[in-house]
Amino acid sequence: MGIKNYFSPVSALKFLVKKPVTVRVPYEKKEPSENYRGFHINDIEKCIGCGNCARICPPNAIEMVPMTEYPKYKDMKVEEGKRIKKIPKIDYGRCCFCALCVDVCPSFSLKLSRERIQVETDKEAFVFIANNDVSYKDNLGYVANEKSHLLGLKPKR
Amino acid sequence: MKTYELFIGPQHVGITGNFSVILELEGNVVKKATPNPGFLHRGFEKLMEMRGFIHNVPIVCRICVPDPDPNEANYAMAVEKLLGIEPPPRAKYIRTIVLEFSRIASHLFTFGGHAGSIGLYTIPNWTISDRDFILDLFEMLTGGRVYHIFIYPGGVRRDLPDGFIEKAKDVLNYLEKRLDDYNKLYFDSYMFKKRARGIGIINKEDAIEWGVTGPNLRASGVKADTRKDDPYAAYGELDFEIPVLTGGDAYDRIMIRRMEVVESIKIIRQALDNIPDGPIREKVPNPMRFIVPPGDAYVKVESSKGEYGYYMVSNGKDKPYRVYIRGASMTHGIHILEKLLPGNYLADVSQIMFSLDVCPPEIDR
Repeated sequence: MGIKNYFSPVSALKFLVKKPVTVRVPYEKKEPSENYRGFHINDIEKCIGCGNCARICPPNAIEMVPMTEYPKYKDMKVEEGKRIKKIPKIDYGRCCFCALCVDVCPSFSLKLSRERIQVETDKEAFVFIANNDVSYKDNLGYVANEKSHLLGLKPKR
Repeated sequence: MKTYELFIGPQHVGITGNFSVILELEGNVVKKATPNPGFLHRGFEKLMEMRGFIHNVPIVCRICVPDPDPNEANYAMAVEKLLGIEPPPRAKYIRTIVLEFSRIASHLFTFGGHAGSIGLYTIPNWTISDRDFILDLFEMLTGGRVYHIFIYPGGVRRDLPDGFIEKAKDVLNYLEKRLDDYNKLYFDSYMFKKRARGIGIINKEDAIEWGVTGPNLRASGVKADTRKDDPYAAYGELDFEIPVLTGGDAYDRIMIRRMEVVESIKIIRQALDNIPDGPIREKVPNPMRFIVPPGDAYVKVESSKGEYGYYMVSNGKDKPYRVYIRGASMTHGIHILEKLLPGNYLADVSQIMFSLDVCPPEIDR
């Protein structure tokens, strides 16, 4: 306990001029990183309906449903004797955002966005078909690339 | 004098997680302590027997929340040992960087908790905000802040993004500067020395006998570290020291963690500078049908809590037959706590618990 110690509290004054590390949320926005794992985006036209995503999903959050369940393709005509393509429907109560589904998608149609906030009062609103008509469709986050793809596929140009 | 019973926990009294201790007190002196775990039991080991090898990757990181990466690395290494493959050098370096950042983040959490428990309330605010810079780095690299799900059997899932190395170096420089601030307010503080010195002493012989590992063992004067003794990832190629202190009390257990943060910064700097080019993943079976040849493997890593071990048995199917996890906190949280607490004041209970750095999910696997 030297004489120097009595003056050391004075050094605390430097924190008065420092910028705070916190973000003032309603006024400032914190941008998620480039490959953030948020809600899914699925290009339904590109999706081949293989079901890899449903099989790899660790918490079984993905269910494959016929394409006609999605409102946009409700009136789609199905030819006699042909099967309807199945597309992933995701239960966000179960999803752990591990992005394994993205890394096994052979058509590279399934992607994750950087959207992370969704507020709803109805719990059914958290179970929906991943689609490409959402407001955050251009806000791409975790996207499979040549190195990350677990089946060793390359994205087509 | 009449004794009375007091429940401590299960919410965050001396441990980051749900864990309680039933104390028998005489006045304010502890006479008997009975740890009471079970609040975080999620049945990881049993759950892993029912899921495929790949489906377990997002589960294992949940075994220790403040320090999830040693679990991922350990699980991946056990699977690799059964498959008989070795990850490529670049993947090993990326693993080392992730593991060491995770160690720093976990130690910062412990500093905050311990300082809070002795009444220095500025330190938790500082350490948790500084830890967020590390979480930002994890988010940039892996896409997740807390659960990274990044280390995959055979390598890692993604390569380092552009600008990661520069950003990581900035964070390391910042953390190094911040350690001086921590020194002034916490490590050199008269109050910290007065409160923590001579509290909860584990001597060398007892530490070895009870199976203490990690920083708690090194604070008792034993130089043992899995990173040096049985190098995994890229630790064999990097130059670093193992700090050892001899006191074995709460003060030394915190100080050894401060010294480890300095060493971790050194390790990450070397790994960032010497990272080789090349692939990030070795060829592994198709994730849809990940079949591992029959056999058993025991792999250990050094987490921020102590020595971690995974014993995995495969019977040649796509699911593990049995996975046993040796969590370091089992010893520290149950046996050591029961022996250390009697004779101490009630006010010191939470700081002893924090100085042991117990992670309850490791106990309730």
